[in-house]
Amino acid sequence: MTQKDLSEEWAWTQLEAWADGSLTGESRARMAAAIAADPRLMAAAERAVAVHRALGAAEPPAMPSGLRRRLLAIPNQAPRARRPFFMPALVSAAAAAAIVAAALWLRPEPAPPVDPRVAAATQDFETAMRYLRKSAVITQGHVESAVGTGLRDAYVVSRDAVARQAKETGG
Amino acid sequence: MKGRVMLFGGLMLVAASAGAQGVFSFDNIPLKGAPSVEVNLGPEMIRLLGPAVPGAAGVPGPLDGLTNVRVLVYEDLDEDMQGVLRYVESTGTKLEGDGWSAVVRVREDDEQVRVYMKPGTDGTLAGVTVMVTEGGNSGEDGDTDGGGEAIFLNVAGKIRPEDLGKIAAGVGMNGVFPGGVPGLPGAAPKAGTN
Repeated sequence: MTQKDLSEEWAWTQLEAWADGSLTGESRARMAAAIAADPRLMAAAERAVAVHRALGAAEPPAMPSGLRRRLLAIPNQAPRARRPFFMPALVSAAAAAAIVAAALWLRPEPAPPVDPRVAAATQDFETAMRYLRKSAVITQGHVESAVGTGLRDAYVVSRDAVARQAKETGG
Repeated sequence: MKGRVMLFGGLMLVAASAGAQGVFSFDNIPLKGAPSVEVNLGPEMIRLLGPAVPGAAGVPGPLDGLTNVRVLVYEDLDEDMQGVLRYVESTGTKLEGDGWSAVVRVREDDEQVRVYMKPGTDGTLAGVTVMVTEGGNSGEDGDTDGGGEAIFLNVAGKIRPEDLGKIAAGVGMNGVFPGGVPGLPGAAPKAGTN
C-alpha cells in the first residue's frame, strides 16, 4: 500500500468529521486537499454535508398534548413489585459478598511491591562490599598498627570466607 | 601481579553520633573522565537496607550505624596514572593530618594499596578509607595494553569492623542479603508469616 493509498483511506474515514465541522486545523487542511484531488471523495463529502444540514434543520416532533399528564398519572407500583424480590436479592448479595471475601481471604498474600530505591541501594551496597573484599585480599597481612586490629580482624574474616569459597567451588 | 595499579579510595561508615567525621568524598581527583563505577549511598539509602540484615535479638544489625558508603572506580588510566599516584600521595598526607591512621601501605611493583582508618568511640571506627592503584598489563613489546585502574572506597559511620568483615565476606557467597531483599523476588518471608 502506497502513501497515496494510505492518505485516501484516511480521507474516507474522516468524511463525517469533515461534514459536522469537528475536523480542525492541520487535519481539516489535509482533508480539503484530499477532497480537491479526488472527485469521488468530493461528491461523498457534499452528500455528507447535505445530510448533516438536513438533520440539523429538521424540527423535533412535537410532544402529543396530554402525554406528560398521562405519564405522571401512572400509579407507582415499584415498592410492591420489589418487596417479594428484596429479601432473596439481599440474601444473594450477602452470599456473593461472602464468597468474594472468602476468596480474598484464602488467596495467597500478594508479593509486596518492589521498592526501586531498595533494589538500587542493594546493588550499590553489594558493589561496594565487593571492592572492600577485594582490598582485603590484596592487603593480605599488611595491616599495621594497633588501630588496625579491628580492620585486620575484619579482613581475616573476609579472607577466610574467600578461602572457604574457593575450597567449596574447587577453585 | 604485574603492571596494574588499583586505587581504593573510600569506604566510610559514619555513625549518626559521629556526624560526618569519617566521610571522605575524594574531591578533585585529577581525572577528566567519569568513573566506570560510582556508588554513593547516604544515610537514607542505607537505612532502607537495614531490615534486610537484622541483628540477633538485642544486637544491632550489621548495617546499624553505617551512614555513608562511597566507591569510585576509574579504568584505563595509563596516561593519567602519574597524576593519580600523586593524588593518592597527597590524599594520604591530608588524611593523616586530619586524624586518620594509615593501617596498610602496600607497594608491590606498580601496585599500591593504602588503607586509612579514623577511630570512633566504644571500639568502633568512624571511617575507613581505601585507595588502591593497579597499573595496566604490559605486553611483550613493553607497551601497556591499558587496564590501569584506580579505586577509591570510603565508608563512614559507627563501624564495627567485625560486622563490616562479615558483610564483605558474604558478597559472592550467599550475598550480603542472604534472606533476599524485602519486596524483591526471592526474598524470604518475614518471621511470623506463612
